[in-house]
Order: sequence, then structure tokens, then C-alpha cells
Amino acid sequence: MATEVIYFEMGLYRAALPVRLRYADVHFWFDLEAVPGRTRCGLTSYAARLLDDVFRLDWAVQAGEDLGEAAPLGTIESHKACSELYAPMAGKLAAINEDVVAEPGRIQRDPYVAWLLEFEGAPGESMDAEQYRAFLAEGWEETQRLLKGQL
Amino acid sequence: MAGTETKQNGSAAVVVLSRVPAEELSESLRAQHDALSAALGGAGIAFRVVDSVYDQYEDDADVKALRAHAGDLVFLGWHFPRATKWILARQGLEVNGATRKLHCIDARELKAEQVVLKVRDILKGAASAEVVAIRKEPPADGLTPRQRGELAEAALPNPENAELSARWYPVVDYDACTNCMECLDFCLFGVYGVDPAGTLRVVQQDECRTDCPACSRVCPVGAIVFPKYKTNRSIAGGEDDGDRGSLKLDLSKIFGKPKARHQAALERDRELLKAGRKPASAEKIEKLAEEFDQTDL
Repeated sequence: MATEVIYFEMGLYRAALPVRLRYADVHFWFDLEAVPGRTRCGLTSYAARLLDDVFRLDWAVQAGEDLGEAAPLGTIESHKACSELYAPMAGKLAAINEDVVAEPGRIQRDPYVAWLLEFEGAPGESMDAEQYRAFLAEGWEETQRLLKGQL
Repeated sequence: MAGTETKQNGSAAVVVLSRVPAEELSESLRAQHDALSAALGGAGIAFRVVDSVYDQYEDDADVKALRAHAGDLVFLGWHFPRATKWILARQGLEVNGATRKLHCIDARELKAEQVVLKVRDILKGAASAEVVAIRKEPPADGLTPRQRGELAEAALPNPENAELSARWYPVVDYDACTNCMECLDFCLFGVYGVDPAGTLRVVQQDECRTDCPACSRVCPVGAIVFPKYKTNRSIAGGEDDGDRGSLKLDLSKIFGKPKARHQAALERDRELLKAGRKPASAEKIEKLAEEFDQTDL
């Protein structure tokens, strides 16, 4: 995919942020063009880097459910971390990518191809790649403190 | 399927090995259970095997047998020790040391040989696995409900005498509970109630929504335990986050975890919707609108 990309520097790692996508502050990307009338979303390379090698993705929601903004979605687990996930937008959940549930390691390998969910409609709020990068930069100190504090 | 029991002379301890709850029975836990069974047998330690006590009802055979045993118990289970302790309390066993010592070991966390060594030391009186109360400060009156003279919590009889199946409900840690009733106010499924003495009880445990831990998040002292909850150690009765090196990084804050109370409300709304009811926030708004309509302006 020949896509324009900007980068956020996470120490030695550079998190790629494709310019054509929109972003949510819970570290999901939105693709508004993949499926007409829907928003496809997945975790950003920043999120994938924090989690590292994901081996379990456990959704507590099903396609067809109406979800509010920040509704709990389920859990994600890698060898070094786990997290609950929260809805990046409100709306009806249209589809879950079962291929990634079966093989969650794809999130780490190719976060912008391994989409997770599709919602009906478009997100109320989102950021472009530049805004998301600025958002990451703003929170980076605190994120590092959180990571270190827990270790 | 019980192993041989130890001598019944007053304080003789019984070693109890729980089966793994059916829905948690992975290959590795099955192997761990079998290894433990073999290692205990190999070491000449008598033990008794019981079905998951959390999933049983109060009139099921293993629960009755445990209640009837008067001496110390060394319980090897598949939950955090604090969860195991209060599951046993819920099943009517005395657990606070008045008449017996209760030792709880989380069989997930140790190798079979380590468990056997620990059990042997406990039986010799050289070690302990008694569960220490988590409460750091005493409640306002200095007494927990249990210390106010309450007995063990009453579990319910099995309504249809059904087969043992996976269950989900809260167990209350009465070493910590201050009887504040936040959980009773919060839960809209009628799980909680109050007994004649005014003590909080889990009265309709099977009304609880599977996998919903919301009331545990609103408890100000962390007294509500869901032994089978997976993503948060303290809700499952484990030690608080940040306590152990073995703990995985919890990135939930980074991924948008709301404050506990807000998250609990979201989880409750989800369960209300699943049950065909309106979210609590909507219920409240409608009620206000109704009251407003009735006012004569």
C-alpha cells in the first residue's frame, strides 16, 4: 500500500501513522472508505507497540449490538500486558473481524491491515494523523511513567 | 472419588483438592490438577477431592461434607485464596478462626511439588496459608458485620437440583465489608439484600449477570469478589495491582479505561440492555420526565 505516513517516535521505535486514516484517543484508527456506510477500525501501531505480541483477543460484544461511546468491548492480552478495550465511537457494531480473533498476532505484525471492528456510520469525533501525533506527544511522558510505575 | 481422609481427632486437618471449574478446565489446569493429585499421593498425604465449591449449592454433597468436618482445612483451589475463603464462608463454613483454621492455596500459582511441600509444612504447623484480612483501617464502629456477631452467609439451596454447571455471583469479604450498601443501591438485578439483623447479603445469587463485575467496582473497600473474573486481579480476590512482579502490565488506562464508577455504570447498562431493559441512565431520565409531567404548571 503506497500510503503517505508520518511517524511518532517512541524511543527506538517509530510508530507509523497513515495520513489517510482518522484516529481516536483510545488508540484506534478509523477507515471511513473501506466499506460504504461503515467505519472500519483497528488498533494503531502505537497501541500495537505498547502491547507487543498479542495472543488473545476476547470480545464481550457481538455484531448487531448498539454501543455507547467508551462502552467496554472486551480484553486484549499479550505476553507482557493486558488491557480492557473501549469503544472508539458510538453506534451499531456491524462486524467483528474473526480472522484476527483467530490469529491475534496479526495486530502486531500489520496493525493497519488487521482491522478489528466495523461500526455503522461515522464517528462523532476523530483526529487526523497530525492531531493524533500531537496527542501522543502530549501524553508520552505520562505513558512512560505509567509503564515504569507498573514494572 | 474422595481420597482417604486423615484421622478425625479433634484438630486433625483435612487436605481438600478442588476440581477445576468446568469452564476453566484448560489443558494446563487439567495437567496441574493431575500432577497435584499424583504428588500428594506420592508424598503419602491423604486428601479429599471435591467439585468446584463455587459452582455447588448448599445442599450438594461436597459442600455438606465440608461443613460437617470440624477440624482445620487445607484447601487447594483454583481461585485467589481470599476468593476461596469467602466462597467457603458463603457455603456455611466457619472461616475466621473461631473454631478451625482455614488454609487456602491457589493451585494455579505454584508447581505441584511446591504445593506438596507447603501442605506438609502446614500439617506440621511450620507454615500457614491463612488468608489475612485486606482491611487496613477499621470501619467507623470498629467492627465488621462478621465481628458484630453475624454467622456465615447463607447460601441458597439448589432450586431444581440441577447438575453442577458454571455459575457467576459475587462473594462478600466480610473482613472488609463495612455494610455501606453501595452495592445494594447500585445493582438493579436484585442480587443484594439485607437480613433481619441489617447485614448486607447476597440474596439472589443466580440473578447476577455472567461476567459482569460492576458492583465490585463501586465497593469503596474492595469487599466484593468475583472469583472467576479474568482481567483484574483485585476483583478476582487477588492482591491489588502493582503488588507483584509477576503481574502483567495493565494498559487499560491508556486504552481509555473510565473511572471505576463510570465503568461500573457502563457495564450495568450493558447487562440491562441484554436483559431487555433500559439503561439505568435512561430509566432515571424517564422517571424524572414523568414526575415533571405530573407537576401542575
